[in-house]
Amino acid sequence: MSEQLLELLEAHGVAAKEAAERLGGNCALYLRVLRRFTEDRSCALLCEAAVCADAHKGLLYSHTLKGIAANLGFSRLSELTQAQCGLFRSGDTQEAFALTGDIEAECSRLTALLEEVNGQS
Amino acid sequence: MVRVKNASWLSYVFVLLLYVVLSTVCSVTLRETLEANALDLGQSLSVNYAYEMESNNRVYETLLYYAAGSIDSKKLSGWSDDEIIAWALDFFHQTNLSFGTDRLEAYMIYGGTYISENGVVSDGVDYTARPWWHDGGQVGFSGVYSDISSGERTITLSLGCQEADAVVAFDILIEGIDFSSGLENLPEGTSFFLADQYGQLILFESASPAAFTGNELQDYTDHMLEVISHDGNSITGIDGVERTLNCSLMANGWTAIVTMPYPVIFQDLNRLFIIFTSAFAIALALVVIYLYKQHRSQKEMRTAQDAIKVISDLYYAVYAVDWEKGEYIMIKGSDELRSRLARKGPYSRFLDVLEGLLEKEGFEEFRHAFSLDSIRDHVHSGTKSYGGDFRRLFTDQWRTINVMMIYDEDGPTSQAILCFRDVEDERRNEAAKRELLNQALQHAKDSARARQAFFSAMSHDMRTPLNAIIGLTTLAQGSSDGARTADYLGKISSSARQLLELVDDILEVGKTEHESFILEKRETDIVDTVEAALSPFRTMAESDHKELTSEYNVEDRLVLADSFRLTQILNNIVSNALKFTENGVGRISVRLDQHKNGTPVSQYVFRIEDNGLGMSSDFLEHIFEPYARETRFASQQIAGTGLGMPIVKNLVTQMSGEISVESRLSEGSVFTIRIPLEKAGSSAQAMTESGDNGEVSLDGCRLLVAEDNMINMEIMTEMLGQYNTEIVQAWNGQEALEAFVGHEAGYFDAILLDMQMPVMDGLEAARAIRASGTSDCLLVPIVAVTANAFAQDLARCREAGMDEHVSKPIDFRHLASTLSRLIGRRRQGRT
Repeated sequence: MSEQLLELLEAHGVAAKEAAERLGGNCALYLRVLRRFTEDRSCALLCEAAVCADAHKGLLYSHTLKGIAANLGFSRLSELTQAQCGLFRSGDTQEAFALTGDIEAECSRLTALLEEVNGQS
Repeated sequence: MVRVKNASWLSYVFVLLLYVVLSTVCSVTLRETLEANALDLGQSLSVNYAYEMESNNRVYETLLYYAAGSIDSKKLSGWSDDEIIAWALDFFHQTNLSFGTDRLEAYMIYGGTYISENGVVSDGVDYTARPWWHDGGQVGFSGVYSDISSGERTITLSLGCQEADAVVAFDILIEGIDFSSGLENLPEGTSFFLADQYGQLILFESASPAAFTGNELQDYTDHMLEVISHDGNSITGIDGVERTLNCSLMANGWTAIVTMPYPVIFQDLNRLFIIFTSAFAIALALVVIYLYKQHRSQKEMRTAQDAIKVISDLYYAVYAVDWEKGEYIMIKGSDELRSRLARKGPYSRFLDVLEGLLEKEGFEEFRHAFSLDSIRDHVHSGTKSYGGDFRRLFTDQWRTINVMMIYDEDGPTSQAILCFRDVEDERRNEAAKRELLNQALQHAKDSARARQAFFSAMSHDMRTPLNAIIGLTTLAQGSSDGARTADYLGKISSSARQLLELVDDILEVGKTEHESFILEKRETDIVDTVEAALSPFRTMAESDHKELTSEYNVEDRLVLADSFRLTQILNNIVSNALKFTENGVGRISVRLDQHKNGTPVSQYVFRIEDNGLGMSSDFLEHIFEPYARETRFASQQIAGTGLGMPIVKNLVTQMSGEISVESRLSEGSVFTIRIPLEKAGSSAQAMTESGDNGEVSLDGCRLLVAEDNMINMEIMTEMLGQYNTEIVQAWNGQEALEAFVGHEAGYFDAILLDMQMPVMDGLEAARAIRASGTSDCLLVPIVAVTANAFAQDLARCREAGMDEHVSKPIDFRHLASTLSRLIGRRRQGRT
């Protein structure tokens, strides 16, 4: 079952096998923390920071998402947040917040995917 | 700050340099003036002495002219020689009387005869050959010579008569020469020299005692005259001291010389120089002390400013409120209010602006709680701080803020500080934590209820076999029928086994729930373990005419596993399968598959299938809950505690595995267990056991982990937990700091800090931990864990006192290796 889920995730652009391998091949742990992602509020908080144009919080939540994405094998989200953090750090706040829409869309896609995975596990 | 400090240094250095330059200029000018004055004084003295000497000489000359003229006049008038000699003797007597014979002796050579007051001497001496002889019409001055008869140093003034054969002369005794202007009041060491027209020293006088021989003084006089001939005005004295040199040439060719020692002239200047130097040294010392104190003061001020900044950063707005004047001062304002509110103004205006930002109900509370009267009353009642939470509109978003009034007794007497802090995230986190606590509380309550229900059931279940044992024992004791007694004993044995099984399960549940439960991973042949577990059941299955089969699809049989616990899992499931399958038709199959994923850790999937009674879907939902029992089973009169499945679930979870069940009533059940097991002899195993350097492992280490995200925290806790570590969680840097200082030194073996966290980030936390002053604050290894991998981030980590940096995604082998190395190094340092 776990193998099938990993394959499903891989098919949707998630580096699931590599991420599970980093967790010592502990698929149960990996699937458990994946479920946590659907409850995580970092993306919502990033969107709120974008609305308030609060660059400090924007960087904080983008950075948190970046860490989560890296650990969970969310390649696309990792790329987006890395780019956004880079823009925040270089002081290009406007450009950084412009990426929030893409990040939110990717988070939504992943959430939907993980809910599907949860349904199967 | 640095610029100000440099400016301060420069201004002091400039002032000191100016002081030195001015002092030098003054000293040089003063020295030149003193030297010029000394030369002027010396010149005046020499002129004065020369004048006085010339005056004396003029008196002598006048008397000589008078005597010679009188003799000539008397000769022309026809006076006899005896009359003239008599007149001369009287004149000499008067003259000697006037000047004193110790100073002057008057006499004349008249017709070759020496005539003085003492009488007439006709000794036939040729006086014209004497060195003093001068018979010209002008007074002649002899050089210094020693008188033949007295041996005294003498100078002779002589004048020849025109009509008479006579030369009138005065012997001036040098010992008798005296000046009205003495040297007593002149600078110490001032010397006067008088030389004749031949350079012979006539007279030497000094303002201080001096003992030199005549030859020394004559040589020195020659040297002075040599220097004077070259217009020199300074000379090295006979005593070796530098001196001024002034002279005055008299009409008779004599030279009056005055010398003064420079050290005496510059005595006052030297004193002044010492005073200036002392003043400079004192000023320099004062400046150095002042600058040192200022440096210390600035350092303390910087520390205080840093602390204030850290505190100030917690607040997005800070206002000072003066309740007597009814005014506010904006110390730090939010972006929105800076454009709408003046920096200073009436407090009512501040409230008006705030009214548009706070929720209506909240604003009324704010107006009441933070009115000028309320602030004053709180302060007067000794309250130093009070405040509360309010909802505030930020642009188009409502957020929770905390407003705190602070009063400082050392500050202005009628002024309090209002601090505004955005606590939205903090409150949300608190709410989330409260929710978690509530859930935990609810879980605990449910668990307690289930436990209570369990104990009620257990007391019934335990009483049943116990009653049977007691009753049957009584029966067996009273029975004389051997066959019946054997039947009783058999039933007693069965009931006792049932009771033992019940007690074992209860103990097992307690053990697996206990936090000290530790899996003992050893190299194990997984297939042999399963076969060994199935072995006793094969006999039972055979006796009950049931089919028990096993099948293996395993490549790596040698794994690191707790074989005892694996056997326990299989025992529970397979024994249930045997229990709930019917004799003659029951089939139980056990299958084990290895799912490799390219790492040393593979998924081992156990599938235990039976065609027994199966379970209802209602019970399936609760099958793994501890203390929950399927009432249906009770009615089946099948022995069992209902604890087997919770035990299995706990064991599988402890092994980081999963268990799932599919079952249908009357059709049977399928248990699937997935457990990650590591191939024996892999690198990860080596790391877990010994660490990088082969000396230290993470076994039993206590780690403080600060991470604000639940997902990352869970991963961290789970993965590091696999290395048999104890994890203490902190959700931001502040909590990590409090946890560190709140425990005794050495409590934590290492600290992991996420760099970016709310409230206090990892860098700040690392600095605070290093500066906390505990005995191990500088020793405890701190590892930064972050998604930042820029070189500047690594540098900032080092600068903040962190030992290492681990990037996300986290390579846990690398992290474990790093921690093992750092902890090992620390322990070695400690021992």
